[in-house]
Amino acid sequence: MKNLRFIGVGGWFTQSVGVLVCVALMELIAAADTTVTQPNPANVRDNASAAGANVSLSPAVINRVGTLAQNHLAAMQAAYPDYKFVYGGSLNGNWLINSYQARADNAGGGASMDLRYVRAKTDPSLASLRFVQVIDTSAPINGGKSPGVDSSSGIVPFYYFDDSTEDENKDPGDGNGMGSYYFDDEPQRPYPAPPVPPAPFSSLGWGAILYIASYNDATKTVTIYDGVSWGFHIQRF
Amino acid sequence: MGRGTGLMGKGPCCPVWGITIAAVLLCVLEAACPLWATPQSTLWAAPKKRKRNDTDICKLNLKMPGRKFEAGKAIRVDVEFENICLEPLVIWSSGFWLNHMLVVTDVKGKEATLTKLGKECRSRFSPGGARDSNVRILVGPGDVRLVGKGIDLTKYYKLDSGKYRVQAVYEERMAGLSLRIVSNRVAFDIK
Repeated sequence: MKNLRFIGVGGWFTQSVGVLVCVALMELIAAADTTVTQPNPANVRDNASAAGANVSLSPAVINRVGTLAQNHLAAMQAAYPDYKFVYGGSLNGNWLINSYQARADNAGGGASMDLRYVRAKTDPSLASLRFVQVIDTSAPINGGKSPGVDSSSGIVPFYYFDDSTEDENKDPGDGNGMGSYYFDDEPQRPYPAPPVPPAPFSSLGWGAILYIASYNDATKTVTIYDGVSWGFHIQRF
Repeated sequence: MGRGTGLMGKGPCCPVWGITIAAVLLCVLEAACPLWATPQSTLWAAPKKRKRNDTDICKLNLKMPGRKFEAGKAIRVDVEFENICLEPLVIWSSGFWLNHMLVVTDVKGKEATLTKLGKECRSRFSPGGARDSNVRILVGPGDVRLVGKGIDLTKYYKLDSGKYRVQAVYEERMAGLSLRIVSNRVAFDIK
């Protein structure tokens, strides 16, 4: 009877612990990757046309990218040899897309995209977070390479290149106090040359993966985590 | 109706009268006005096109600590926007040289010689051109935004001893917005 009771107590205890472990594991599994919240449809424009050209979003929907491509890592390391780039797996925050729109005017076309990366509790500190964007395009600018790191400074591999810009795009109070990090980009290209018959159109592609990363200034190490892919495609008729 | 018809046929509104008066006026003008003697190309030439400068919307401030420098030493300038109107102003951050230009001239207005890096940066200047990172920045009414800090002119120009002037230009055409601003001009000496 005692044994039975012991077994009974033990069973209750074991079950409770088991449930707790399961819950914890499920939470870990659920929080293992970043998530993407798509924008309000009112903030999405799939296509835009002007001057005999059509610009479309490519990909049409912003997707999470859970790996770091080897050629992207190689591009980062080649462009910024003073930094050390490593892949750090997945973070747990949320990519909250605000808008994603194709744009076209008489001179050229492109896309605009802005989002907030809402940090999870388990993510690196907000202060250490950085955006690193790698571009794959058929029309690199200024003799750049593709894939290439998108850095307007050319000095640091990060999208925002100075401390004041970093600070103004980080909101420590957002996301229930976890903080968020704002990204905004409106790339564009002049339209490609007109098609040469019999080709029905000429085209140009621009795609980017925006990675969330953390930076250790003491060791100059950039740890790359998840990303989101976005871009546009131009067809000229 | 009848009266009107009569006037058209006999009065001063008659087409014959009108043509006669116009011809007389032309003759008088031709004789009296020396402008008719001016070559047509000069007379009708379009006024010299002045480059746009939207300083009523925004100021581009060029700041230089000091005015006298030693040859071979760094000469640094800061460039900032100052929104002087009552509405927020949109400027674009896409790498300084894509939509900004610094121009150093001698006292006669001749541009100093660009270095290799200076030529490279100048070739990137492309208002409305191709962009990768391209961030829309709102400068609030009355706000000041630093866009270029400690830019060393000697990296972009070959500057020997002499008197120079420097000005900055911002020009961009993006998403239906167009802006061109020329900064104040700062004179400096190199000894």
